[in-house]
Amino acid sequence: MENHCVHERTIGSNLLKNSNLSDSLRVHISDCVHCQKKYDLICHENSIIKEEVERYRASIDMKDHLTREVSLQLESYLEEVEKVAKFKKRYSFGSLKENIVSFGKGLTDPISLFILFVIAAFYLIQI
Amino acid sequence: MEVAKVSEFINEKCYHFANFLVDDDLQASQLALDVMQSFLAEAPESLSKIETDALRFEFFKRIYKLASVRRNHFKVDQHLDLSGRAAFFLTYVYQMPLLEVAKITASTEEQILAKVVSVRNSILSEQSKERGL
Repeated sequence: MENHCVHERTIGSNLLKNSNLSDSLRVHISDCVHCQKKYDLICHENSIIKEEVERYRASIDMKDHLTREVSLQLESYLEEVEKVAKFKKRYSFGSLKENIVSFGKGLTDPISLFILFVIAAFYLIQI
Repeated sequence: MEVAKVSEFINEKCYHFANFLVDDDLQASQLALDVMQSFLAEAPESLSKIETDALRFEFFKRIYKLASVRRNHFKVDQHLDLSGRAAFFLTYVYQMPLLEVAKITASTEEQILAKVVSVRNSILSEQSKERGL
């Protein structure tokens, strides 16, 4: 029957979670044949997995494509936001200006003045 | 909102995760871009906080959900264990806390651990077959 060390499980558990080993465990690994074997095996497996995971990273072409798409979408969104803000600003100021001008025009127009006079007269007669 | 930061996050993290999930570069890029668009439509101001863990968690959650929906829609490899691969990638590669991974994949922490070991072993056995070991 093969001999085992009680620390093998801890080493395995730590390395599987991709977390670091404590200093005391590192000292133990250098002294224990079983733990050394286990440590080497898991490190080897981790390097295989790291290689496999790296395979899924974006290639240079894909990075260019994604960067272009993201920039395009975000910039068009930011332009849209800017346009809306400008429009709101212009619209609110423009409508105020327009109303003042139309009110002024109404006062100089003889027909409007006559209508205003009739309404005022009617109101005063009622009082 | 910094375009460069968002772009880097989509390139380095989102695409990598999406590609590991569906194992198809075009679908992965589409997934990453669609999730970004969903953020632009719903809460564009949140993209300025791209570095926060909460937003990153939300990105990965949406990518996983969208991949689960499109798995049937686009008929990607039906043998792919999406939740297992998501759990493995987020836990092992991004070292996300188990509780968060459990929320993303709608599993318990124990299930996540089992899935991580299972996906790890399947990757190792595939690799040993490929290398003829």
